[in-house]
Amino acid sequence: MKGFYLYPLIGVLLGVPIFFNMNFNLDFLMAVNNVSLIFHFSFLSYFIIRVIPVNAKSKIYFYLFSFVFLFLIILGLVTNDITKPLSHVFAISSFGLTVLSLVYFYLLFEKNPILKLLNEPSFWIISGIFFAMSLYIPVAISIGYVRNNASFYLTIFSNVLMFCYGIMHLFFLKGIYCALRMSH
Amino acid sequence: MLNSDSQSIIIFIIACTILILLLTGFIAFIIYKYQQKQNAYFQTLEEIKIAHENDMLKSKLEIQEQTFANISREIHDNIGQKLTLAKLHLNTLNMMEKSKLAGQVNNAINMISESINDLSDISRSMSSEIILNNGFIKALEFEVNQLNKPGIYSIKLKVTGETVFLDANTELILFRITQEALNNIVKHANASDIAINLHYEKKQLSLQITDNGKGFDQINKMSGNGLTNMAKRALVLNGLCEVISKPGEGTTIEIVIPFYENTTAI
Repeated sequence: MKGFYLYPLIGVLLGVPIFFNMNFNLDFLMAVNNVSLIFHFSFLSYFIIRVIPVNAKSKIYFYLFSFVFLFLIILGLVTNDITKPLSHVFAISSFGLTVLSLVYFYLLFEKNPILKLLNEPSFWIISGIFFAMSLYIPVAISIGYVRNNASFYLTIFSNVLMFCYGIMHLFFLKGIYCALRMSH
Repeated sequence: MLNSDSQSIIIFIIACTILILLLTGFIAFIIYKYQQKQNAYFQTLEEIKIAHENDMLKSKLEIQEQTFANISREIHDNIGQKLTLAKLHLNTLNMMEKSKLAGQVNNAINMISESINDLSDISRSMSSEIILNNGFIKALEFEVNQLNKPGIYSIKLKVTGETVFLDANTELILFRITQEALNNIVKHANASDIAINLHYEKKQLSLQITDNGKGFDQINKMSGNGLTNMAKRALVLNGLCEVISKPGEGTTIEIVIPFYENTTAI
């Protein structure tokens, strides 16, 4: 859990300009949003791999998996205009995180069930990631089509995305709360 | 009637809601299944614990029985015979034959003295005081000296590693295992050299007792009482007891006991 607080904190910092409607260039904001995907994916995938209940040797495979996705994300950012919405890159990142979350859930049942799941910080955080990312995949895949053919859906789409992130951060709060309770 | 855009939006919202519900259900299902598995796991663990405790209790009772049997046999075979002989000497005293009288009385006195010494040795050997007061190594040295006295055996005790004080109960059981091993060598092995190696490692203690006696066929004789007792005693300490022997090639007994929290390095 050490250092996980950084993720929501940086998320909040990135959201400040949008929230206060500061006079930033929209292209600049989009570029920041797209590039922050590297941090978003690296941070969350590293967190999941760190808490996955396997030995250090087996974790190498998960790191490799994560590096492949990170490479795809960087490739997607480099080969596209980063000032435009890159939903397919977001979809790749979400897919990688969803797979890692599912692996965590699977391995949870492979080991002896000694954790108090309802008080386990990593479980809540990964549940949040899983919930948001698996909802995000269909939205991110279809958003390009919607933008071109049914633009009236865009508001609902963006609301769904906000809802995903909201729920994810609620799960994170629960995880952080559990971690704080454990430390006392 | 709703127009087609509104209908699409409603369908989309319904689809999203279903997806959200499915995901929430999936997480709830994981929690439910995990707790179900956890309950079953703890129940199995409890059953194993109870079974283990029963086994331990049974082993302790058997060990106690065996100890009583050993004392009884020692008194009957050794001290009892000497005292009977002393009594016989005293019963057959003939006051008329003064030349033999002193000799018979002296014999009886010697036998009674030997019996007293034997009793004292048994008492010291059986008592846990030596362990409580001086620790396992000193008790072992005492035992080795006792066996070296008659000059029949050459026993070497070697202690290596950083010595660790175990709790008195553990040391006592360990001492009894060593006594049992030495007892077996004296009774059955026909050995002349015995080596006791005590090695303190970081997380465990290993005790190796080797003799150059006649050895035995492990397949046929492994179920002997003494060996079973040693294995049971080692098990009480969560340790292992391994016996390696071949006919004509002596025997090696290796006992490994793990350390726990109540140990102190010196």
